Amino acid sequence: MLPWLLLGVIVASALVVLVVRSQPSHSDEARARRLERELACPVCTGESVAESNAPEARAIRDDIRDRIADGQSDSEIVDAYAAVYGERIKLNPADHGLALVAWGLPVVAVIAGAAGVVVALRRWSREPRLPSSAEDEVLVARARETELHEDR
Amino acid sequence: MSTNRKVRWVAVGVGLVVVVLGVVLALNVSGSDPNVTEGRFTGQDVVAPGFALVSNNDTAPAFTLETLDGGQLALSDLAGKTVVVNFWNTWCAPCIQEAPALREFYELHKDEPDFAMVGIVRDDDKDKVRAYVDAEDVGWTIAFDPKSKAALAYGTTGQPETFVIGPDGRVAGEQFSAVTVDNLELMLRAARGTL
Repeated sequence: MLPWLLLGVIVASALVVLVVRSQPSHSDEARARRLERELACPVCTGESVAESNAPEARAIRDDIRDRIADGQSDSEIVDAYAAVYGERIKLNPADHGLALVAWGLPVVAVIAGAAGVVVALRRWSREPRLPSSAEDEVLVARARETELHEDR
Repeated sequence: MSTNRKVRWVAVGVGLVVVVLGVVLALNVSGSDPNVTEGRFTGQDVVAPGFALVSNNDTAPAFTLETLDGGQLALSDLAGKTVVVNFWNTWCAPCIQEAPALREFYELHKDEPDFAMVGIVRDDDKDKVRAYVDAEDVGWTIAFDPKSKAALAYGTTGQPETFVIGPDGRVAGEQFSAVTVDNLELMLRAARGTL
């Protein structure tokens, strides 16, 4: 029982550290950079607004900062660009409809994998590594008898 | 549960995941021609790659920009007219390439009281623009969009890009890359409802 508890404590601690450290900074500049990485360059396929040097990408980087200064939220800013360029400008999958599969599938895969590991570990710990034959049982019984006689 | 049954369940599970992923991928693959650039206003009536007579009929985004002669031009100043809006700059080769077509088209329609044409420049040097306009005898209004706000509002994906706005203020045509006189005429007729 103790090894499992210890493993549980280590995993839980690691998760807490991960969650805490992955909390995004809310400074304006951090928000701007995050949004730049979440938006696709409307000109250069495969590049984010953060990576691209196309005039539109540069303009969007400036525009994002103007919108943040205007008090717009991240979702308002992303939706404003999607209204102009379509959903294709969003690099993250949408959070509704069939696109939920993209978000959910990795989580399901991790949970299923973890469950599989737990089941396999428990099975291995219960089953003897090698089944013993009748001759083995006789040998063990004789060895125990011999030990008892020697102890006396 | 026997080993065979376990293997079967695992195989069914993996198969289901593959089928679901395949369906999701198939539904997300665009059915449109990869050569056609979808624009802010592009709908189903794509005439040719990069050229569309729009079907969503959205209202043209407003703009107020400084003109080459130091004045101000707002789209609302041209209300009720058919307006050709051409995004360009001096360092863009296709922009220079389409200039003769724009000039020819402008000469055909400049005296029509319900016609207006605006060339919007962004990401360029004002002196270079002035020199080009003087050298090429550009007769239509030239305005500057230094922060590309107008370009972003129109959903440009480069230059040149040309939009034609009808008297009702709605975008009737959109072309990516160099325009031709024929395409401009088509968009003009679409905007005026005379197609």
